[in-house]
Amino acid sequence: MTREEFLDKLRRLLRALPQDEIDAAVRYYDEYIRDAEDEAEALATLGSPREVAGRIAAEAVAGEGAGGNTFGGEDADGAPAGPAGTGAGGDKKRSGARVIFMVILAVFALPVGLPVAAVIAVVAVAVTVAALAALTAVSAAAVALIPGGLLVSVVGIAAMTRDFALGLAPLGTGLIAFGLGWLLLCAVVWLWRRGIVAAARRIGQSIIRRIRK
Amino acid sequence: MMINATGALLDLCVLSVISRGDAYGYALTQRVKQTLDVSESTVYPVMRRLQTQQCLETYDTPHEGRNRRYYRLTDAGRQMLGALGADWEEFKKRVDGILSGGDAA
Repeated sequence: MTREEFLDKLRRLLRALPQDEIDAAVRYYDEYIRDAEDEAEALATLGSPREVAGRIAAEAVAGEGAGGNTFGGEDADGAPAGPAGTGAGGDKKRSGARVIFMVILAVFALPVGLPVAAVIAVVAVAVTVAALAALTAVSAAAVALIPGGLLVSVVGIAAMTRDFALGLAPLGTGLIAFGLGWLLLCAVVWLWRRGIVAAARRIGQSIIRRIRK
Repeated sequence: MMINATGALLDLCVLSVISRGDAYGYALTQRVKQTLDVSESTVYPVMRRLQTQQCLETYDTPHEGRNRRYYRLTDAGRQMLGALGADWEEFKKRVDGILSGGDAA
């Protein structure tokens, strides 16, 4: 790896940080590698861009509070002894997503295995949440279609007393909506049952397997 | 050395090195590494944090056709160095107290 490649990777890994943080870090390591007598050796001792980025990200997350600056183990009081004290919440714009990204980045700096497990867990949770959200949306549509369809049908029947043809159209539309609503509701109930039963079965199987071991 | 330098101890060492003369990243890291068992990538986040806490400030000086970024202590940094130095003395005394088996101070 050359210096340029290293810095390029570092920049990409840090992309969740504020721009000035990225620039400062890349600038620092650019100089660092140039200042070393032997570029290749400097790159070797620095470790991978991922490790370097992980350290920066870990500090960015931990530094939200106040950073080190106190001796002894108990940081519970949290109050920084520092005279400046500006370390706390220096960047209030930092969004939750950014913090999560940085935590993931920090996790990636740990030995392999743990990050892989973490990614699988996160993906599993995301898929579950997405499926539940889709199901909820379809349920809401079904629940809205049934009374809505009924209402439109009633309006149609009322209109038919004055003008048969004018009332027939809303009646038809209302009945279609009503029927579609029922159909969706049945589908949702079926999916719910299937999903829950399948999940329960899977959990049951894994418990049984663990007990047998 | 088995004892890890983290947090305040690392802050203290970095501030102390810079207090004896403005330093640039590579030289500072090498100096800290001579004394403490830390990896190369540990020093930058510490300096960056001290910078956001306004204990350190930077300035650029031309060097071989590019700029080299030097770090120097601010007044707040000197205060921090003094406070951490005092904390360290206290900490050292207590640990020595335990090691020599005496009563708590």
